[in-house]
Amino acid sequence: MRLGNIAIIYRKELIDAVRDRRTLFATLVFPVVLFPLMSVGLGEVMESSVKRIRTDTARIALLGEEHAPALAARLRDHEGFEMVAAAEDFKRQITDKKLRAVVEFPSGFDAALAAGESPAPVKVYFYSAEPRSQAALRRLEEALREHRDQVVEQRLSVAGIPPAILHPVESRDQNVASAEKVGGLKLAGLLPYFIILLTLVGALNPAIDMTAGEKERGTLETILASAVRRTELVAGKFLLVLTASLVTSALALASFAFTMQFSRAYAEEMTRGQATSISLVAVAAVFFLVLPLAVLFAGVMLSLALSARSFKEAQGYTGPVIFLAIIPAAMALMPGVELNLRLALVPVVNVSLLAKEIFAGSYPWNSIAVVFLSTCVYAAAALFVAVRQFHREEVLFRS
Amino acid sequence: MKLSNVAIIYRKELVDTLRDRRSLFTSIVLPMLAFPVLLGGMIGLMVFFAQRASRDVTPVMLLGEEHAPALAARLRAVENFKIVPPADDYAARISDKKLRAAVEFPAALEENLTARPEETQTVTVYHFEGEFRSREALRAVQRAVRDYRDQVVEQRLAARGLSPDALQPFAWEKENVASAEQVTGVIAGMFLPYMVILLAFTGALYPAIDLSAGEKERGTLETILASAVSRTELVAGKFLLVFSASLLTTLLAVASLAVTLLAGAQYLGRLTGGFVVALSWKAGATVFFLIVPLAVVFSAALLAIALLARNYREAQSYTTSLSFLVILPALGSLVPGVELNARLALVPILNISLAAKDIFVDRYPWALLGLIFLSTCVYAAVALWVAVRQFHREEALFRT
Repeated sequence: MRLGNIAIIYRKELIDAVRDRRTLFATLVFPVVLFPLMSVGLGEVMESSVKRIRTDTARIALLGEEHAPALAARLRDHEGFEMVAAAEDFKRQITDKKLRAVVEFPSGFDAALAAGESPAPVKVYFYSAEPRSQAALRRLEEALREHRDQVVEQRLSVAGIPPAILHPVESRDQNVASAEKVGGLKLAGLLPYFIILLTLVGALNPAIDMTAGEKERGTLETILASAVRRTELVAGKFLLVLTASLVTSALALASFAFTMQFSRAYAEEMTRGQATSISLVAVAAVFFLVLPLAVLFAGVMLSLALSARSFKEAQGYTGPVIFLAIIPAAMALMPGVELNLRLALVPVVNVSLLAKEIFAGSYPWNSIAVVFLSTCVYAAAALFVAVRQFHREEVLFRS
Repeated sequence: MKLSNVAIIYRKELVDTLRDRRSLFTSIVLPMLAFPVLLGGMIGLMVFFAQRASRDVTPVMLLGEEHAPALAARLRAVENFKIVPPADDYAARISDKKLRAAVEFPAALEENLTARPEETQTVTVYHFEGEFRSREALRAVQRAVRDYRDQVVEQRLAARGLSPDALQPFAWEKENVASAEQVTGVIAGMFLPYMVILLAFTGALYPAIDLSAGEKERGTLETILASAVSRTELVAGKFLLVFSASLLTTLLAVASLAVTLLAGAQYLGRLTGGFVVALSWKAGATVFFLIVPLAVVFSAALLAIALLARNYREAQSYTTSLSFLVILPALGSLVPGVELNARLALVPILNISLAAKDIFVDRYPWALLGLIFLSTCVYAAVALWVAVRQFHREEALFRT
């Protein structure tokens, strides 16, 4: 194997790929512009609409207000409610979203409270699973609790008992993790998913183009007849796929960071208002881990696409791979899943979980070593298969 | 335009498509498998890890246990808690996830409860904010402290001759007025419209490329243009095939989703606490009726765009960009709180996404639905007209 030949093949493939401006543009637009824009943009829209639901006034109605003037007055004064008169078919109005909730007071509510008795329960009608109705319900419960506490205090002071005895013990929670760790936590789940998927997507098109694409254009025979050896050929092609894959995910990451700057609401929610500084060390460490993973993806994609006869067929083979990689890549997004020795041996899952740890600011060196080495083993196996494929005439000249 | 010619073209394209078993697999079987595998896989993994997390040993540290033996005993009794000996580096261990929480009792907590009843004793819980397992531990500690507080309050009230009922002067009941179908519908209405719209699009994608750019690439477009069928008949035949592929893909994928949900209903029920899979036929039929003109828009637009490309690969790069224009408005149903109105009813794709969300909760705003259907029909007519025009333009047909 001569390095000079590999460089020639690499340069040839690079020129081929860069010359096709239109495809280059289309393959870059997706990961670099649209993907970050979509994830951040959608997150922004979601956040702002959730916030709006929380602050919007909810239209509610009171039934039997005359039985509980004090409580009704408290609800009227409470922030975020717009009172309307209740109609006969108020339940229908709630499911039609004309009303968000209805409160029904039992008869003699205030009288019973004044007499020190327990009145029949207040009824709150709402539409479960409907976000605006849920928000109204939460606000109503808050007001009801306030009123209850007030009644209790009054009763105790009437009996000559200080209300302080109701609060013997309380718990106060205090965060001990640093701001970076807390802020990085949510983002730390999203980023590995993002990077792994784009590493795979970035490898896809060049891998197909340099194998099945060459077959289709009829140029594969020409290059096989040249003086380079099969292994050199695979090495050159493989290196280009690897480059494309890494460049794609690096560009996407950069563009993601850039897009986040413009999305205040989303960024604040994601990082809980803490300043996030995903350190450059973390990014470098994750890319170091992604490197063998990218080798693995490039090897798998090349082998798969080479066994196809045409561009279209190659797409049919590689599509399911992407589809299958989504689940392990998304592992980092699942709450409570943590890396252990067994998971450190599962390809893709291990990198996803470890990258999450690293972005969240911890560097478990033992796990890093295990994950890196095991991924290297998988990568070597994938490369070996790819080289084997290029030596098999049945695969190269399938018809 | 002769119908029999259209039928001939349609049959030719159908035979072409069906013969290619492999791409048939990717375009029809794969999306059908996608739902059970992705949905089942994700939910299964989540349940698996959530269950494991709830069984997992949670290391918790108690600081100053001697000040509050009764409360400490309560914490020791919490399920899955493993109390580790006190140490000074608790903050670092919590940040490293070696420890999930540390509870610090103030000096002489329990003595003060009797000696100074008017004072509130504050227990501090150190945790890792936002971290899943640390939050679980924090909640468990908070629950234990609340229980202990209630017990102390009850004793204090009893000592003064009051029953604990005094703390509950009145109660309230929450009543959900929506039917089980409507509750399920809210959840289904979030992601189903998005999926249905996207499926109608992807179902049309491959046939549209294959029947235009694919024919160019294979060099068979000239042959068919030289035949006795008119251009309009040719477009009509090709369009009808793309259209039927789009509808078929959508129907099959939705059927497979329904089967997955029904098969997993019991499982989901345990997960969501009474998940009822009950989507009515009426809702399904109405949504499908709205999707039909949208499938026309997709099929015609994709044909027109793919025809501009010189080969399969180029056609794909054009249509990938287009798919974003579809995905974004289709996501409208996922955004909580966005509701359909007359203005939004005119925005293509978004209107159907939002209408479907309403329909799944058994609301049928007929006037708006009519408006949506009509406006989508107008868009469909425009897209068809453009597609026919493209097939008449030599520059589009023979671009080099």
